[in-house]
Amino acid sequence: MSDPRRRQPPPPPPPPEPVPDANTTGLDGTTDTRDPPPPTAQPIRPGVQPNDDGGFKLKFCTVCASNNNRSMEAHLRLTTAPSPYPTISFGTGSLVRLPGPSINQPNVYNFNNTSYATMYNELMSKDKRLYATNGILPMLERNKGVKWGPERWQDWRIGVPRVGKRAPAQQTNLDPTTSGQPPPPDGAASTDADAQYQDDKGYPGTEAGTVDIVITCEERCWDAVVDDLLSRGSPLNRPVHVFNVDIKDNHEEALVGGRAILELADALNAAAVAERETYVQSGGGGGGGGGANGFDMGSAGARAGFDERVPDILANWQEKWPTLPALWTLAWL
Amino acid sequence: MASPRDIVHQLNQARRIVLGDAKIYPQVVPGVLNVIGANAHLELRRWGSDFLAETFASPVLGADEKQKLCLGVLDTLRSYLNRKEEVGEDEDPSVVKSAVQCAASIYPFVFRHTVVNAGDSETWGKMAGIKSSILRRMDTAPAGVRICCIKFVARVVQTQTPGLIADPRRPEQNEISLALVPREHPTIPPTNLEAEASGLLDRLLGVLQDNDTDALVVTATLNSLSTLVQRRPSISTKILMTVLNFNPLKLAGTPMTGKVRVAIRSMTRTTMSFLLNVLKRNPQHQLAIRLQQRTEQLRHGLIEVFSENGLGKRKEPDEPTDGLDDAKRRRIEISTANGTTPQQQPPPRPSHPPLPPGPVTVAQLFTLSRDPSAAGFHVGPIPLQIVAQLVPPLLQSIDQRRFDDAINAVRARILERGRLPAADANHAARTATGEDEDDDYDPSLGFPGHDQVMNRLDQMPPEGVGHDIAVTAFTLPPAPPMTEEQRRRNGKMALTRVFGTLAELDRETKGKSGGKKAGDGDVKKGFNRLSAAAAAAGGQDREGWLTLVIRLATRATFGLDGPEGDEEEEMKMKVEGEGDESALMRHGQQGFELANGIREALVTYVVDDFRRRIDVAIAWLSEEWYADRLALQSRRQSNDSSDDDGDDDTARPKPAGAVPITALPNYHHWSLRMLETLSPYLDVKDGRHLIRFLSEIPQISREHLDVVRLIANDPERVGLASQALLYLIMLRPPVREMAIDTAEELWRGNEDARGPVGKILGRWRPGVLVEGGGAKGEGGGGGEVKVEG
Repeated sequence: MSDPRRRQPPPPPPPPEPVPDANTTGLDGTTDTRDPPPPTAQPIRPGVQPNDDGGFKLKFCTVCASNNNRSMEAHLRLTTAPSPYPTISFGTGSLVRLPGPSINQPNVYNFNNTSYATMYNELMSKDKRLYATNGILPMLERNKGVKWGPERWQDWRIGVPRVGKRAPAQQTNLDPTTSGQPPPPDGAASTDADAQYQDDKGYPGTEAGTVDIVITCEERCWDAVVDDLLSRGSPLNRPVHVFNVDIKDNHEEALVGGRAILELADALNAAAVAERETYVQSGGGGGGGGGANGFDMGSAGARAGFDERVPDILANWQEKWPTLPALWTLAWL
Repeated sequence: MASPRDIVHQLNQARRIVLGDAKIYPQVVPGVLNVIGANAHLELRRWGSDFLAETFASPVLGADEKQKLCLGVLDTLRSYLNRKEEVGEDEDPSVVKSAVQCAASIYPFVFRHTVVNAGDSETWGKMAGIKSSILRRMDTAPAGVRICCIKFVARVVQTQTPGLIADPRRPEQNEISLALVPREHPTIPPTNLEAEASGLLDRLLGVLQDNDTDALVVTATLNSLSTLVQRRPSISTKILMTVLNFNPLKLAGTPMTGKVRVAIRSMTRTTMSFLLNVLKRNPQHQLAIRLQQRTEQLRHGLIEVFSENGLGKRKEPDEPTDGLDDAKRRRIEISTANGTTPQQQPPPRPSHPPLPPGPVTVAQLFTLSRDPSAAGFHVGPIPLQIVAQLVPPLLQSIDQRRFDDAINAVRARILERGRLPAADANHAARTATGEDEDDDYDPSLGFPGHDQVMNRLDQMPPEGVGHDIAVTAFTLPPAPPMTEEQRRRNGKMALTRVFGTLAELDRETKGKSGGKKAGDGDVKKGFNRLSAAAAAAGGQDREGWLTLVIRLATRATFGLDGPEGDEEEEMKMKVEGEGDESALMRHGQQGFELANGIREALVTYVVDDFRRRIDVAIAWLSEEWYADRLALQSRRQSNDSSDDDGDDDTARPKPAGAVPITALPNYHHWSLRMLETLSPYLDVKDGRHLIRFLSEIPQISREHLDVVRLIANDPERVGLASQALLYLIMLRPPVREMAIDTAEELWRGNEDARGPVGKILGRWRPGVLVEGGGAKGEGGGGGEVKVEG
């Protein structure tokens, strides 16, 4: 809240200042009920039983270029929130690039088979002072605590269960686009070969290898993700909301962006929970006879399902975070 | 009986097991079915539908297993979807969503099952029941369910449209499609299926044809159509045409709420991604040009919509209601719909305002409108041919009575003025600007330039002019000679103004191309380029102005070293060719400084947005080359006549026949400069632009190729550089040898480039690969060391 980039919430009845038009409030009639999104609404109603793990959770996926800074900050945020979300994260670049001693000498690593620990150790031995001061070592330190190593979006086999050991590195490295690049740092794959998926932060819920929401941190990544999903031919027939939240690639902005993404996630999840709750309230869960009409009795805002509320949620969120331009589409896994 | 929670807990354990080992699915799925059926608790149905959707989507479960399993789940799916009919209450939307997803996944398998087991009409009947249930709810269901239905329909269309047969002998290997169905299949006659698919496709495309504005439905449709375009050539053109005609910016006219912004951006960007994806997959697509045009158009449109609104500028509602009085509105209205103007004119005004006391301008004399914006509108920028088009219909549409009124009003004003003494602003203007102005004075023309002069003078204190100047011919005293400093400053100012105009025109073009149709803009562009080239930039538009700027840079100083130029000047020209900037400055003085200033600014201008302005760079460098050639020619001629050639040769030895690039000092310097400035900005995807640049500039030297070679130092851009080289080798024979040399250097000097460059050399200079074969292994090791270091 204290962040200057986050627009201060307007005084209680928010004046619709951008467009003084009657339509704003009339579109779905959703404004009234939706306006104060209850952060991570926990269904504490007598009729509803929360799941073992604290209610329904959307599954998230954060994406940036190298799966190191922005997506990992967001990954950490989403998984250490008061009600943590199932989260996985990826990078869309061809290689993991970390700043080096000068702008044209980046440190380059392969995706999928280099662990954050390996990078950490290597950079530590190269120039401890440099990488400590430019924030790379602290960043890797953080990442080590979140998951094993950076993963590449394009190599993600959607829907393949993420259980047990991580897929062997050799398999994913056959991608022709990475050929001709520097060889992987020695021993990276072998020493950490017994890395388990379940050690990742935000693992519970991601076992099936699918997600409901993808959040990219740069328009280029959004393009790459959408393009990749189009190319894959959507074999799973599963809808996925792909968002972009434009975050500059530095540590400070990543922190801000992470907070903003968590806020978006909370709003989305609240809507998804509300959708499930509405049905129960309308009598569907009890198997009573009033179910058929009960559905119509909910207020308009609550009756609108999760998916159709997404544009509204994003628009509201954008109001609060005007410096992080957002983008969205509904794609298919 | 255990509580639903406990059962879910147990089910989750079962799920964990199958996720770990897909082989167990055939045992688990049937076992689970009776726990999650229609009579089960809501939590269990939710879990069950999710689980079924997940199972049949899972890539680790084989297609054959899925085909066997799917028969068992049809009843469960139907009970979810028909809950209203069977139990009497609506099913939970999230259960329906998952059920529809699952149905989409199993549809192809049931289809193939039916193809193989021709007699099993019962299974197909169940599937058909599910299908009709889904189709029924498609238009009425909540949007979240509706998008799943859309995806289901896309899957049905994909299944029931003929696909490619990879291997006719092994039908089980082929993709499931209508092509698998024998012509006389008893249960599923292919003609019926194809007709159904075609109808369903129309239903899908209906979303785009109706220009639906629900971003969720539109993006879901677009994203699910992509597979059909990829895999089903028979319908891909139809789909593409529909997408090309879809206008995602339609909402731009409505008030910009946050949601509308999100919707516009989402739909537009998704459409662009869709088109680019098609283009990327097949760059030789028959519609490639249209795909590209459309994406560009959408890109501009998006920028336009948001730049206008970003400034808080609002659309139509805020504009004045009487359309014709607003300058901007009038331009649009008249150029698009001539016939509508008369109806929109406000009713005749009761009276015309009297002239203000004191001196008046011609413009004031003829201005009858009270609206300041209409009165201040400058007619000058409207092109003459448009004016010519406008005037006849305007004259016809003017109400005769009003016209007479207006004429009378002006007449009355003139008479009134005539009674006053002549010492008014007109008089003062004539004396101040010289006598010849008098001839231009023709009130009936309403000459805009004239008006402006008057207006400006009008703001001067009138009495000062009137009394101090005698009515004689007035000549301006010659300006004092300018100092170096002044010259520099004026040069700079000229430069700023030249590029200021360009920036303005850029903005204008952007606005126009966004608003109009693509075809329109392009025709104009092409035509204007020609006319501008012919008339050396008389045009008001960007193309014309660019030509002017370029010519200003390349030709402005051209005469200074013409045939009459003495020996010394020529020497300086040559020195400047070697890159000595100070000599260059001294030589041309202001002219030269301006020219080089413009060149600098042109480089910046192009680099600012090189993807769209690379053509400017090429046009400029071509002009540069041409001007240099002319200069060289004229120098040679004069040298021939004065018979002194030795000087030239010692400075730059040149081969007979071709003109060495060093003899073209400006071209050489600036083309290199352009390329060098550009190269750091080239992205991996910018191969097109680099290749275009290298292939279209008129002459290439070793130095240019060295720059290309340096690009390859970035491992990510190796492909970019090697592609450029390959293009030059294949399609630009004069530099082929040079390019191959460069490739060889690359191969020897750059580990990362070995792969792509090796392919080039393999074809064009295989000898290098053979001799370098020994060094290869060693080189690999070296690369590793380099990375580690």
